[in-house]
Order: sequence, then structure tokens, then C-alpha cells
Amino acid sequence: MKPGLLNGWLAPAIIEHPLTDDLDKKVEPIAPSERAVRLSGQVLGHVPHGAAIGLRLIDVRKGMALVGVGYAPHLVGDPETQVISGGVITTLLDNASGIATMMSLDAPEAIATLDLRIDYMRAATPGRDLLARCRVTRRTRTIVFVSGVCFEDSEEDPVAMSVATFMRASNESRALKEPEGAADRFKAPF
Amino acid sequence: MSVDLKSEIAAARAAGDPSRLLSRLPYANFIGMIAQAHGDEVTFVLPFKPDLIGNPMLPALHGGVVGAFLEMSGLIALIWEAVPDAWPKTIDIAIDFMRSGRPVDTYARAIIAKPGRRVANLRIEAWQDERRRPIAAAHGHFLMRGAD
Repeated sequence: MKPGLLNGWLAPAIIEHPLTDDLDKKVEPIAPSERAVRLSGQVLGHVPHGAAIGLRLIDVRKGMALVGVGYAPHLVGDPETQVISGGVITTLLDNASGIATMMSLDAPEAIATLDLRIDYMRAATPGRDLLARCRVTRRTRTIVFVSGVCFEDSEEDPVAMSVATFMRASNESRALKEPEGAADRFKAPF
Repeated sequence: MSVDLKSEIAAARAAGDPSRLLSRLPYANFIGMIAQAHGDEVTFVLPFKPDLIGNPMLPALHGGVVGAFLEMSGLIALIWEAVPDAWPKTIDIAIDFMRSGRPVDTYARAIIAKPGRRVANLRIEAWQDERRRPIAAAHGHFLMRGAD
């Protein structure tokens, strides 16, 4: 299987899917935002496995990342139903959570995943692309807490939900120099 | 598509080769997982290859790949052990990352903590050079289908 899935931004299928925005119920076509296009190389361009499975950055805001993965036969996890692998959803949510974490920081910092918990609510629909929207719920001097949801059309009909924690400045002590009480609560609108 | 899973497992067990079951999971093949039975234990191997990298600066394996490796190791260990009628489904999985995965081969073994009739509880651990220094561990629940 050729790992060349990053060519072209989105599979046409995903562009044609309307996405119900969770904030105002507005239906809009999915196309990567300008900011996502601009930052994609920086946050996903150097992730070989992200490229291998075809992760695509669709939108980023402060403390938020929306990442997509196109359906592909080599990503199947259930041979009987052709449902995409839980492992791919793990990779998608892990990466999207990491990007949301990076997007919550004021300056680039190395981060390390401490843990990631995923609840699989239902099987993903065979043949459909998947999206993961991850949001930072709280950032402290040392830790960033992120929650995520994986879905096809609407966050209200999730395939999986995740919570993750990340350690900040995993390779230096800069984060520790921030004043006590510098914790940020990230609230909508993201 | 669906050959009788039970007889497929029986054939794999008779051949002493759990990799036959892994070969039914396209994503497991894609990341290059293999499985080896030694006595009553199955060891899963994730041979290193460059496209498993998540952070090329360190370099480190992609956390999602490590999580997926743990999950699929658990799934195959479970069907190898429990011989269900249908593929179990992951209900939830919680992964602790202890050390960054270096660009070398990774191994995993699963413990079926409770092989329930409807739900199985598993713990899975992954390591690299040293068995006693795990890089990640997971615990998860899997829904057993066709058990009734």
C-alpha cells in the first residue's frame, strides 16, 4: 500500500460532506480553513505516520484542532464489516489532541502524552471519512487536559470520545517558570 | 467475507501461528504487526519502520501507533484465548504512556484479566529492549459478540 495519501488536501468525499457545527448548528461544507492550510506543515508535516494514514488538518483555533482521516481499505479493523480500525481512531484522536495542546501554548514547547482514554460509542460507518475535534479544557503550568470527539457528520452522534493529558515542556523546565495560578480555562467559542 | 471465525482460530491454533489472525486486520498489516506463540503465551511484535514515527525530532514512535498496537494485540490475544464466534469490539481503552517509543522494535503481551461471556477486561503492556521498562500500558474492555 502506498503511503502517499497526503497528496491533495481532502478526498472529494470529505469536502462534500456537510458538517454540523456544534456551536450554532450551522451546516457548512468542510474545507480546510486558511489557518489550517497555513499551519498544516508545521503541525502535521513532520509526522510520518500522520502522512502514512492520511491525517489532514481541517481547522485550528486557540486550544482546538479539527483533524480528518479519509476512509481507506488498508485502515480497516473489522474484516467482517469493513469498519475502520479502532487503532486509526486512536491515532487520529491522539494526534488531534496533541495539536489542540500545541494550539493552547503561547510559544512552541515539547509536549508528551501522559495518557489517552477512548470510549468507542459505535462503529464508524464503512466508507465514510472521520473527523476528530479536540479541545483543551484546562492548561496548567505542567499539564494540559484535552477532550476529543470523533464523528462523521455531527459531534452529537459520536463514534468515539476521548480524554487525554499532556505534559508540558517535556524536555525543559520553562513551563515551570510561569507564575503560580497561571492555569487557563479554555471555553467556547472555539 | 466472513469465514467461520471459530474454525479460523482453530486452524491458527493448530498451526501455532497467531499471525494468521492478525493478517485479517488490514491496519495491523499496514503498521507491520506480527504475532508469535511461545507456549501458552502470545507475544506481539511491531518491527520498526520509518512511517511509524510521530515525532522525527526525538525521534519517537507515534503515540497513536503504540496505542493501536496495544489495542490490536489485546484483540488478537483475546480471540486466540477465548475463541469467540465473532470479532470482539473495543468498548473502551485507556493508554498510559510511560516512555517515548524509540525507533526500534516494540513488543507487547496481553493479560486477559476477566474473560467474561459478554465483556472481557484486558491489560496490555508494550516494551522495547527491556521487558521491565514498559513504554506504554493499556487496559480496556472488549464486547464479546455471538457468545449467547
